[in-house]
Amino acid sequence: METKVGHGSVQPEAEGHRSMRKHIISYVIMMVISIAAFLMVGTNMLSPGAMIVTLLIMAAVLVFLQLADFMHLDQKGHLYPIIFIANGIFWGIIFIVVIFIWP
Amino acid sequence: MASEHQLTTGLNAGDRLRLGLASRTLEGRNKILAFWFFLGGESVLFASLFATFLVLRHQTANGPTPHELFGLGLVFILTFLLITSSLTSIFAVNAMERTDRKKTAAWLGVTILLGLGFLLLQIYEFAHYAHEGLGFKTSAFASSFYTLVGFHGFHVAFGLCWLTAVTVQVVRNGVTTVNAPKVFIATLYWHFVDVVWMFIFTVVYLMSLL
Amino acid sequence: MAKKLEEVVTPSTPALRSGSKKGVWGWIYEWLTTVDHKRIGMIYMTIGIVYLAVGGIQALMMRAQLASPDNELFTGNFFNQLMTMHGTNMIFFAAMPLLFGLFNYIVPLQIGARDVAFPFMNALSVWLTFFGALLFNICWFFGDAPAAGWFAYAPLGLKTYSPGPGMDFYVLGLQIAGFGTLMGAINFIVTILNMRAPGMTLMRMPLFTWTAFISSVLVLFAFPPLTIGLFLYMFERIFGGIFFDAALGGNPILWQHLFWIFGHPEVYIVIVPAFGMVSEIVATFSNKRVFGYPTMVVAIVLIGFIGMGVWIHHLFTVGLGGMINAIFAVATMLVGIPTGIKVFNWLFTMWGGKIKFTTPMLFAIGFIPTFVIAGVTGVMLAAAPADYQFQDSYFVIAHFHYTLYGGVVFAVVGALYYWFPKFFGRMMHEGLGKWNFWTMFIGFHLTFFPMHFSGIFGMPRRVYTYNPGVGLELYNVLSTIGAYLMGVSVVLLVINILYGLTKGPKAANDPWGTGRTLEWAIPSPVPEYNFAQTPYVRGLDAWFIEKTEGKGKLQAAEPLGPIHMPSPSILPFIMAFGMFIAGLSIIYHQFFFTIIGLGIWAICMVVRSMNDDEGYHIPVEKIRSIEGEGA
Repeated sequence: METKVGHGSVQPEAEGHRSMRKHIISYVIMMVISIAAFLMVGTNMLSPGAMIVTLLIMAAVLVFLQLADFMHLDQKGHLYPIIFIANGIFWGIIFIVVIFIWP
Repeated sequence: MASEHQLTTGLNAGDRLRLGLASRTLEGRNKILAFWFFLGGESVLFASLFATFLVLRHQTANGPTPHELFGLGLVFILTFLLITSSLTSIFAVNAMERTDRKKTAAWLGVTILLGLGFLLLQIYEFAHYAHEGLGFKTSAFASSFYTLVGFHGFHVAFGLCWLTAVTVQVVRNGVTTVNAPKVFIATLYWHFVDVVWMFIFTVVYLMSLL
Repeated sequence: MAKKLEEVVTPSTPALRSGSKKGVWGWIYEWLTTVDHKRIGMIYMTIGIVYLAVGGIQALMMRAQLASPDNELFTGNFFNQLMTMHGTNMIFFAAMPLLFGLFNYIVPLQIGARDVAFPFMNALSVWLTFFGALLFNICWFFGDAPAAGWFAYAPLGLKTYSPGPGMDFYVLGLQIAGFGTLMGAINFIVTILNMRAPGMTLMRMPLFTWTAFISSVLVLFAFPPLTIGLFLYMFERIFGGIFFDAALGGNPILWQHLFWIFGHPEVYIVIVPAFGMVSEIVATFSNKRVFGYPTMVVAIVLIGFIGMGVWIHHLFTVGLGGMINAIFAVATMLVGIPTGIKVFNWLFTMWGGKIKFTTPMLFAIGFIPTFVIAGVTGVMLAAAPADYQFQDSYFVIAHFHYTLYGGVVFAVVGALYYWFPKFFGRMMHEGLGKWNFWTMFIGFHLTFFPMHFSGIFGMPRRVYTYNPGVGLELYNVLSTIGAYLMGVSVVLLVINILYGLTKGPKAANDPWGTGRTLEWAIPSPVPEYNFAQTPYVRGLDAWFIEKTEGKGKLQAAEPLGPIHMPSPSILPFIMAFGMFIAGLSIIYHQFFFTIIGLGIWAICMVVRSMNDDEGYHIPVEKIRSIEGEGA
């Protein structure tokens, strides 16, 4: 099945133990941040305004870790995926902000 | 179906992907790219649902309010289940890279179980809220809450069916260049579902309780 | 599973003749199971022309009613239904299918590919469009058509004020077609980004392909908000959810936001490809490369990007406030800059060129001043304070018909004339083509130019009549005469298509003589596999380079070998039919059948996923016999 013409440039690269460690570290960070978020709200640690900002930052970090690490956006060849997901997030934020402020 | 004989010249979008077996064929690279583009569209889809919820969240009519309904413990368990299942799906992809049919299927199975736990718990949660008086038609808050979280739940359910179908194929045919992109993309979808949940638990549950 | 030579079914496109001898039913089955981008493109274009006619008849009925004041031909709710059906049909089921049809046929050829990235999903897209359009239009037979305009504002479109099922046909029909459109967009984006022939960098792509790309990107990001809006509309109308009904705590402006976040990019989705078509035609018939190719590309990208962020100009008079009106007024006007760059570049392309006034060139040239007028009225509308005068008047109708008809339709008809010989290996009639152009051009301006005036002089939109003696009679009579002249022009177009299919003079691979892009390098009509050998692309206007600096034929990037083709499948048609059942059953609350319909879809997905069919091969002997000498 694999009569390849000019396929030489596509090399297989298996995930090594090094990147598995990276993923587990990301997971631990995600769980820590999640627990912190729940604790913060549960104990009413800060003022509502401050908590909103903190929560949004925490969510952004969580999402960044998912995208960059779990979903391989930090690896080679992902320029177009990054462009498209960035565009989606960009317009998503704009739509939410405009609709939220001017409903 | 794109031919495996397609020439790679480095000029095309997928040529530099190094995702092992999944990006070995043109078909695989096409599918991976297509899926990322789809996720771009899904981002805007969920953004629209979030916008809807944010606009309508205070319209509780005479029905129950978030403070009366939401329990942090349950939501945390849901979060834990989903993030962990994201990790186990990575173990599955890792096993796939080593063409380990058994481990791939096993980790996919664990992922599915954790996801199933999430889904069942969420169904219980909705039933509980309905019992407390929050019907779909009770208020604009109710409608928008159930729609946003429900759409996510539907995505979870669909993802479970998808992961199951992919697992079956791995069990039957082993890990091949045909299967590998499917496994990879199904887990990509699963990660995205987790991404959306991260916003849901932050914006819908945590922020409503401030 | 190797197939013997005789068993290989190779329908050659357009093969209005069948590749195999199975009679009418065999012929129909071939078309229902095709995964060939060229045939799928033709199905799309047929859908588009059919609904262009349907929407056109609806327009002619409205114009008959409006020809004189206090007329009683088509009044009240029926007129509102005509208006709604006309607008929705034209945008979703005429313009979009025609454009997607052209993308489908031409883009793979222009980038040197054998098909799109996902032929199965391509078939699924066209059949979803077919069934979505069908579901929308059969509402008449169920006794009620939607009457709330193509934008379906709440609460007019909600249950209280639209109790009949008409609006549900609107919601479900658009939703189903929308799924197909979204899938099609992803298909084109991947095809263009990942399946270009060796040597074709992005900056060596033809401009039509660039516009297909940007238009598809806009679809990808603009349709999801509509999808959500339609789901909410459905949940509110059918399941009692509360989203848009202010009396119950909902917010009607939310629908306006969601709809126009889709609706504005939608008009860029349809006009951007028109720009691409004009670029191709103007360059070919000036026998000159497009002036300023890099700035053309930047302009297309900018227009697309800006177009996503201007939707508030449809809500200027809602009362959102001065600041947001100002921001979006400026953003809206900005779009004129890249558009202006394109207009000048077309003019500079023609300047110094050897111009041939063929029918497609007439349409392209006719497009330019018409679209400039459209753009000017657009900037006028973009001035938020002025918009308080223009909003909901005939001035707006003038503007958007100048863009949609004078822009999109002119370009599409020109493109049909331009690429017809490539599709069918025959030319359309030049003389009749010129009659087609002049009746369409004069008819169009006669119809819509007076509307600028009737609008400013006070005639509101969406009214089925107007008072005598307030100065509106002349404009309306002129518009009606123009509209019927346009009807004549469409009849001429159809006649010319039929003539071309049956009696048109045979066309070779480069019938216009001055083709510049890859599709003109291959035979007309195009063989099933497109290129016998994937070409090696040496620069922009790749075919022109080979004609003038090369050997007059394409350089191959691979040796001649058996060509791998995807197998046809009936599943896409069945899946789309399942969606149709699901949609119709939801409208009538027959949820058992909804589950059946969705179940059909799900089962077919599983069958497809488990399917190991690897397609078939076209053997080298067959390729040589199709290509003739020198293959």
